[in-house]
Amino acid sequence: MATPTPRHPHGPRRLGPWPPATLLGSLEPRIRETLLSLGTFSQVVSGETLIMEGDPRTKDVFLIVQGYMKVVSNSADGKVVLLAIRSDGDLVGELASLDGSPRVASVVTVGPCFVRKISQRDFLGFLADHPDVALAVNANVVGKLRHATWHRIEFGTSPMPVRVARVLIYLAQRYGETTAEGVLIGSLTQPELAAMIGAREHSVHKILRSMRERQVIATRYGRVLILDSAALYTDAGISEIPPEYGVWPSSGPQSEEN
Amino acid sequence: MDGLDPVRRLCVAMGAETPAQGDASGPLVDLAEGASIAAGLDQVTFQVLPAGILLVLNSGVNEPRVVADLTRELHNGLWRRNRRGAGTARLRCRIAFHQGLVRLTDEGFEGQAVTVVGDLCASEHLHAELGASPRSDLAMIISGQLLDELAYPESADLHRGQFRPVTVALTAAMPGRSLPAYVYALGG
Repeated sequence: MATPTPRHPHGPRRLGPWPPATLLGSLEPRIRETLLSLGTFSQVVSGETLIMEGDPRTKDVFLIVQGYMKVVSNSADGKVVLLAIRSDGDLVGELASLDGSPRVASVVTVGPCFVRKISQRDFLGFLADHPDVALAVNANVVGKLRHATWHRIEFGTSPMPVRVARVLIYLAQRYGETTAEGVLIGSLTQPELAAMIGAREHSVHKILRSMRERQVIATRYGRVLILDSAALYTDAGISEIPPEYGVWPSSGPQSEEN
Repeated sequence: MDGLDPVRRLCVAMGAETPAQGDASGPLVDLAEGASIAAGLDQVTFQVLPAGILLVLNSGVNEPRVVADLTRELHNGLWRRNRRGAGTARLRCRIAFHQGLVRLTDEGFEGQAVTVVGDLCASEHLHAELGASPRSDLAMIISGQLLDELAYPESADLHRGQFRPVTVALTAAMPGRSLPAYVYALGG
């Protein structure tokens, strides 16, 4: 029989800094620790639905401590549309918690995740007691709106290879892991990538194959490794993601406190 | 959603050979953080244990790379710390690797993998390996099955010949039972 390890005051914690573009990465360490002490810590297996689109009952929010999640919605013709990817340091579920409306989209885990589940009551109470965090959550929601705007404008009117390049740049900037070979983007299947940019899977497959042949990217074990960032930006037809679309944090990363 | 569902993960336990100095978790966390960044690892979660710290890796990591790179970077980090550490005691560490099912409860990480890696890190064989290598700052132990899977040719950095086979009594995980493992003192 396993013996439980003693509980740390705030349970398990992330080793290293939080991605600066995320909610947790934007908070002062002391405030972040307090927020992370709310609610309960859970491990969620791959493919679980944390939040169900249209659900009027649950109003909890989830802080992603480790792992990837996809935000999806069902279109009128029955297809599943990938709206966004969320990962370490991101908050999901805050819209229903803030305005009390039914869930606007579903959130499904992509691989096992660690999350902090916080009730609506605790979350709203914390925001009331910490106006700076309320502002950060506000900025986070605005950032999501800006990204959704960028997604709609840039992805809706650009040729498909440009859309693929831009979404790879976005994912690399926000969640990419820098390795000796390049920037590694976590688990993201080709069907999910196709759904995210509103393209057919075989079209995305052809575009990725072309990128592989030109050694712009490599794909391995369901992950994408960006080998040549300059070539990817050329494919995307941009030199940067415009700052007005909220991919970048408004300020630098906060120092980490153990 | 059932938060008690187990997930197979790579677990790493770290301990310091500095019993007289009390809680060594702070320096261990600093070392582990520096090593994980240098090794290019993200999505690592840690928890403080009574005698060290536990690192839990995200599912699906490249295990040979994590074991080889994390160990190498910890060794480098210890060398830098001890080299410049005028006025501070030399820090010598033990590190253990095992993988298996991990649960997360209100008490923290649980599961056989967690307790087994703790037993490995606390084993007399690992203490003895470090004790017998006075020049070494880091001794590692890895469960037999894990090294058998990860060693050369799977990884060019992990060779069975470097290690000494031992049998570890699982005093906390499974009293009365034991586990084959391998130990090695880096730079010893």
